[in-house]
Amino acid sequence: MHEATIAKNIIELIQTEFPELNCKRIYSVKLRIGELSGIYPESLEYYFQELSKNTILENTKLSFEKAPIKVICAVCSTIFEIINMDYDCPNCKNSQFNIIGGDELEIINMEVE
Amino acid sequence: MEIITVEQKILKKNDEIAADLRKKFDEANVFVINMVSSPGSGKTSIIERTLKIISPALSVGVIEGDIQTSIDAERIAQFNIPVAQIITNGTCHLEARMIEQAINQLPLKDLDVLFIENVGNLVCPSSYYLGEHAKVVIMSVTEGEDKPLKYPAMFSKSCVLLMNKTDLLPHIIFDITKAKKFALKINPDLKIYETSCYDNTGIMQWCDWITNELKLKRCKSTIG
Repeated sequence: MHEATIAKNIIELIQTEFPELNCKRIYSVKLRIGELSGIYPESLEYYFQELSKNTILENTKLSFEKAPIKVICAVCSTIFEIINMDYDCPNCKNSQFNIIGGDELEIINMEVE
Repeated sequence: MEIITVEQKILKKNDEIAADLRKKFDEANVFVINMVSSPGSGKTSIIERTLKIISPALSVGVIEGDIQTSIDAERIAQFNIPVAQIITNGTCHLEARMIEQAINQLPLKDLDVLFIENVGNLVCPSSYYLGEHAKVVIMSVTEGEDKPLKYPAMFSKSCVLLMNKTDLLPHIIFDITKAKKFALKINPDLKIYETSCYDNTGIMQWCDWITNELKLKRCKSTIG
């Protein structure tokens, strides 16, 4: 839902962290996007292309690595991955857990030439 | 071609500003609550009912986040307490830099409690830390009992759930036991209060939670 802001944050972060980047162009930026982050990759790509015009990131492609939802069982501490919230612990069948992963919004790396 | 490792959080800047805000809040000894919910679940009404009970015994400030209008801020201003308005102009969440500007309009050092009323949205605000001590999620009984499972990020990051508009329960099909079970499934430590701004059910208990947390926080900072 907040893809425009996230696209702007990606551009600003790269400009701030790599102010003297010595390359012809940034070919691609790889992102880690958690399944719980509420980010729709196609929409993020759209805003990124629009907002990166006239910056070093113009024409840079985005690629995505999805981060699964990871939870820890509240009873036996088994860590397991789920697709939606309708799961119980595979070890002890308890239904309560704490979410420990799946809301990642990270830049992994970038490919430059 | 060369691969340059970045490994940075996209919201790094927001998190840095939020950490600075948290420091300011702690220095000012103010307990900050980020109120989140879907639109229309009763955030402003809960704050109004809360103010009636805890103010003026406690000095309270409010930051009102709204996409377009200042209607909510005007409602809160009637209580003669410090209010700062943030109009996001379409942005669907509050960010730490917005709070950084808003607190300049507030006498932070004189406050005991600061409410931040976030934009009504159960998705985006969960990604943006604002330096708060507690995230409180409000869910009204008209929204359906499956809300916690549909918006797990928000419910799992909150420490309190106010299940609001309980006065409507006799008129609607809503299984409150099931709703609580769903909320506790993804956040077993969640404190749940049933509230109504119509007949004031649960408001006193919710206010007790605030005053207790404030005492605990101040006790810890004295010991620390």
